[in-house]
Amino acid sequence: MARMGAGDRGEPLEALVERYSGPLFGFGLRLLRDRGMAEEMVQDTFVRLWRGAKRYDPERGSVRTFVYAIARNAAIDLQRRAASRPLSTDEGDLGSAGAGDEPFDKLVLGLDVRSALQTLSDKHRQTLELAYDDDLTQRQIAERLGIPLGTVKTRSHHALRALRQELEVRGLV
Amino acid sequence: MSEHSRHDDLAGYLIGALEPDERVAFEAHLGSCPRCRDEARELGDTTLALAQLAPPFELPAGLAAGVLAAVAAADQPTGSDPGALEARPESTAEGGAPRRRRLAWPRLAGLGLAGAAALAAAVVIGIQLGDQDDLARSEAPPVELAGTLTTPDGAGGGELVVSLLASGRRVSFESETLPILPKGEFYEVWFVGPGDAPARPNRISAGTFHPDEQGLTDVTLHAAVDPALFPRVEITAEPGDGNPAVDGELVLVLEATDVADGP
Repeated sequence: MARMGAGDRGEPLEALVERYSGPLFGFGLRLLRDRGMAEEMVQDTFVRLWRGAKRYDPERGSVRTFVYAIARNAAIDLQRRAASRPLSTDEGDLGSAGAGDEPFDKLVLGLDVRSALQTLSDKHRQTLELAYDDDLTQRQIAERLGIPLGTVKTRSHHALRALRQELEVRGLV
Repeated sequence: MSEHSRHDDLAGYLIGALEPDERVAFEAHLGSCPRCRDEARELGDTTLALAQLAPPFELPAGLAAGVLAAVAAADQPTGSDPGALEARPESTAEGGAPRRRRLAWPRLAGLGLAGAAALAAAVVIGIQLGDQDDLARSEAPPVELAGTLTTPDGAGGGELVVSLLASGRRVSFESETLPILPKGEFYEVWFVGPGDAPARPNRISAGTFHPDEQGLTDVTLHAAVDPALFPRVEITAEPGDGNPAVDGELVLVLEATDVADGP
């Protein structure tokens, strides 16, 4: 953040974009329920991040908190400009929520976990996706993929450990 | 089934992917297997995090590229006199930089459109006689005071600079995070004197503004005031009803005891 504040538009910004543009898009999609607006929100967020980088104070909170707080404000402004539906999801009115608010925190964590999943190997990611997104048991996964049950069990184990490592790197566990 | 293969079910158990009979059997196993219990504990947070897993979604092609392009486009120099703002050093420079104060911006939560009492942000900054060495240009008027304003969550804020001209005081305010107000409402900058009260106002307006469509604010306003008489600066959100009185609700006030002395 400090390097960005000094005007470095290279690696530090790119690293942030790589880490957060995906989950932020999901975040925008949840709040704004429109792909075009979600993409615009992501761009607005990074422009504001870029401009406000020197104002970031690590004492106040993590970069992650900073990023999502800015994103939420960007979503609010977009929603207002478009005079569209108020920001709300099944979890409640996220328009007035903020960091520390449980539905907000859960949403943000969930998006980060989804993004962390993408960094796993194909086999590991697939195993967890089939279990969580498709609600399959290991036996059903084995059947669907035509592989031995033992292989699925091993993959699950390794996938969980790999995910844990990734979440640790991101400071989420 | 042997105890050895029971261990293999740990991951399946944690992610809820065991058949019902497998789950019962594993739970029984867990009760007497410290190794599995330890690992379950290690993976506990990960499992909890997975429980929140957001539904899958497709990313638009070129999302990251579009973002970088937007930032590059935004990096173009802005209009009106960016020099006065950017020339200010962030840290102490030779000759003594203007002392920076981080002031708490009111938490702009609950930005619902309801409320005739518009949200108001009050900023009070002590008067500070700027050091002319800090100026990038010799023609630039002396910077009287400068401040960075930040919201409590750190996400919002702006930069305020007040300069002393022969014709009065010039206020420059720049922000990319000031909320866009509902249509018809606007922000107003005030110079406030002692004893100012709703029933008995003692303040001069420096003018009004609102953020542009992208939520960016970069404005320069002017007020013919004597800083000795109206030392405090406030920004309020006004309802735009044509009534020059202050209707904005004061959310934050900082005392003028923040006044700094001399260069």
